[in-house]
Amino acid sequence: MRAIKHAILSLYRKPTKAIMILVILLVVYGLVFTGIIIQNSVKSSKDYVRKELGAIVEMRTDFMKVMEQQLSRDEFMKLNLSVTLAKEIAKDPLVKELYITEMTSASNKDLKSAMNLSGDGGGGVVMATMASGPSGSFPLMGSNVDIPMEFSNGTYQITEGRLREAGDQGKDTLVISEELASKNNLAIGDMVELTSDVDEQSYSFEIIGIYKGASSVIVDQMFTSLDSAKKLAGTVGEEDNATYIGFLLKDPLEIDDFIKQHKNQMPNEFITLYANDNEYKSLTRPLDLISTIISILLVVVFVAGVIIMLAIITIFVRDRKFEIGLLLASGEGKMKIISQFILEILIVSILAFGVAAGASKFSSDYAASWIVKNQLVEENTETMGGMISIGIGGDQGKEVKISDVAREFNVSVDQEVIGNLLLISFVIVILSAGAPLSIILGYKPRESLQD
Amino acid sequence: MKTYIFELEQLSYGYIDGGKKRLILEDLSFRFEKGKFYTILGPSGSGKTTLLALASALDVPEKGRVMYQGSDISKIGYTRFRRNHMAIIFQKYNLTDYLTGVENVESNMMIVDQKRSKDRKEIAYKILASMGIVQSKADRRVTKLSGGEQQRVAIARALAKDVDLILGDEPTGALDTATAKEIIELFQRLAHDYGKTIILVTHSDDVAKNSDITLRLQDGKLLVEHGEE
Repeated sequence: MRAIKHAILSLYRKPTKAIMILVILLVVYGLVFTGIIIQNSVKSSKDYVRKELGAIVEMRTDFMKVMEQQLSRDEFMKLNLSVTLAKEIAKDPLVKELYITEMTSASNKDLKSAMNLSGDGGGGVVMATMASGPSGSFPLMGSNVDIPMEFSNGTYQITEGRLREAGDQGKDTLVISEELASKNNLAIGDMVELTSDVDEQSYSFEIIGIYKGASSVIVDQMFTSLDSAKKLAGTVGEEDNATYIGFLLKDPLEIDDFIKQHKNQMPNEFITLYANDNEYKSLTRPLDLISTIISILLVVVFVAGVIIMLAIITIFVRDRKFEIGLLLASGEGKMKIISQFILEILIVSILAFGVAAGASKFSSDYAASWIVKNQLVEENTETMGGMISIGIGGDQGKEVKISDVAREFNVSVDQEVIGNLLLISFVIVILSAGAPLSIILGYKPRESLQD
Repeated sequence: MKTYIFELEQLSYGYIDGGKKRLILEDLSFRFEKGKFYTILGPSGSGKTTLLALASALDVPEKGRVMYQGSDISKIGYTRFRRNHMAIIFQKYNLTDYLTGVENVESNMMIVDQKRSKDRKEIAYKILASMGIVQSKADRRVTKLSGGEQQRVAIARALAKDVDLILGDEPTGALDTATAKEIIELFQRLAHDYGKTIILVTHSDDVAKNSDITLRLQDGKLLVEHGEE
């Protein structure tokens, strides 16, 4: 009770030192809070990029490493994507869906490629696909799920018919592009015979769906089941040799954790878990630069602030040594005296917190505008002509533009940020007040009164 | 039958002076009777203030012990002893400068373990009034009071603890003669009517001659100069 009353009276009636502490705290809190708020905005923007780039983590061969290590063709051919391992990893609760895809090619001399617009007939040659086969062959993608990734993420849309369903189990079905259907007068229900480019076995496929959305270079792409594709690829029974394995995560923000958690399960250094990191890093590089600069400033301001506060609180305590001696002489406990000073510093810091938190919103808005104008937009303009557009390697077909990142770069102060600001404020007060106040524990009443 | 409330037993205390140890108190022993008013005289540097500091547990003797009501104050606990069993009035006024007179008096009442009831402020005003500090002055910051008024507030602050042992270091030094006389009379009343033990260190022969027993600190020992031990 005495400590509370005297703390308030001391601040009210002898405010000079308290005002000094308040001013220093305002400056330190203001700078630290602004930094933290901007950091939070950077994180939000990075999260936005991560979300926009999708939640797919691919198990793939690291071709850069293959080239670095100069693997022989035989060694390279042994680098398989293990379905067994993928199924094991897919048990992770972070995984929403496991995509296993077999990419192959199949031929039909009577089918005309939709790519070949000059119409000289005789099948198409598909570029830009691993599954491109000999002339006259068509790329075929077999998926383990009824709704392949390209359809679930909206890259392609069904315009007629449907995708595979549970009832299609064991049947050889095809979903083709509307361009290919138009070119060959194909319709839903038509049968198409496809011959394996590997063993020349022929199978009859029923067209069950027609899609749109494919770019001109991949309009010949056909979709079927994993089993059908494996028949054409001649890989029936080869469980541990998928062309593509992708894990769709429930939350894109869990990608880093997921990769960290499972990268040790990879069978060798050439098989890796990949999450569009290059695109992500390209888009977030300016943000990372800002984040690094702010982190350095934060540390400098934090350390300098704590040191200055420590000095002022030491003076604050030293200045009141006589009062402390008087209280000790009257039999007051040292902890009660310390609690009075803690209370005084807390009252000042709460006041500083309120003002600094309010002011930081404005300063952060200003800083954010500057960052968007000078770091995101201008850098973008300088390097990529203002419309940087980085896809995600065709895996999901989504695009993220840096202009979107700039647009999304908003100052956001949520409960978590407020919690962080409170925590930081508390840490600053504890670090700067702890040592000076603990000096009181060593005070002797007679010496304190004599000083 | 005499009742001794406070005893100094073979106290020794010294300083390092020019690399040599100088004993300022040496095997000093004395017993203080309940309800008596004591003064201690001695030249400057004789160790009066040190003796008071040891007696009031502001410092710890190198040898010997201080007993209160038969118990070693180190066993009672120095802080608890200071809090609940004694009050001290200093040579300087020793008040908290950001508090008013009445708040200074109240603060001592708030420190003791047996806290007074809600009428603490009224009691503080009464004690101050008995010291000649009216309410309008009692409500002023102590820095706005004269030296004499501040000393009276300091005395009121000590009395507010309502303890049996009151120690003072030149408590009337800053007071005018008339006020000093009133305060000395108050100390006499506190000793004789209320059974308090008053021990004052002073230079003043006037104060000393009004005490029941006058002691002289000489060569590190206490000698009775006047009055019956």
